[in-house]
Amino acid sequence: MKHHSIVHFDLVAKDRDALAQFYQQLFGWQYTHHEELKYTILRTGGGLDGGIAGLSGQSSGQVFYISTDDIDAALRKVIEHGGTVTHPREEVPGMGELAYFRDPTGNTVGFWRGEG
Amino acid sequence: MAVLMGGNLMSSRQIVHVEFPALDIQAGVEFYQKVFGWSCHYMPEFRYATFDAHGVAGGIGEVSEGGYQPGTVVFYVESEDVDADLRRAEELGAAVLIPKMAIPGQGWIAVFTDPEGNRIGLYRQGTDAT
Repeated sequence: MKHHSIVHFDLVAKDRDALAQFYQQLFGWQYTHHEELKYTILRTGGGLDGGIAGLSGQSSGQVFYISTDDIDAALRKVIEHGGTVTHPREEVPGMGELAYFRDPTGNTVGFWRGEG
Repeated sequence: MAVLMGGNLMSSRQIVHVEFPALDIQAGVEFYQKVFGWSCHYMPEFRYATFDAHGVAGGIGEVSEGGYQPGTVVFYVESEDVDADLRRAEELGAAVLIPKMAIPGQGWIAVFTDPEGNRIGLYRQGTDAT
């Protein structure tokens, strides 16, 4: 079983391009738009990378993602410990799978299983 | 924190801390310890718990009236100059949420909301912070 580390973060935006430029100017972060996914990948230059989800997409707001090699099993464990599933496992074509849950303190958190 | 890279002093602009609030910090600690095996350290005197998510650092803070609400995550970015970064963020359209403040013995933080309303923190490590 892989370690359940934090592997990715999401911001949200109506205007992904403008926000990507904001972070490029402020922190020098690099970005790549993926129009088909209404998503922009942010590369922070080390450590944790993230992205900007379009508000019209499958966004769950400003969240972090925890890695797992079995999203369904991880969601079952979350439920056993008082969390609730807010978005079941879904494929992100060509990239991996994600799901969202709400922890007992009220925060929405993502699961991510990358391909390869 | 500065890192020496190719002879030049380069600033690192990484996410160094992931923070979210909880009404019941102890419940949050138990959940993330049991479900994900994170190493957590609850400090009741600071109403704060730090965690190590297998290499990624973060914390669980206390929900405050009119301020910190459940479900509001903050990503902290490493900063060499919190004041300068905050000014630059404002010039680019951000709004200051928490002005620069010292965390005694730890460093300095500030939090802004970007032009789309996302919450981003700045963090400068410094054991001399008072």
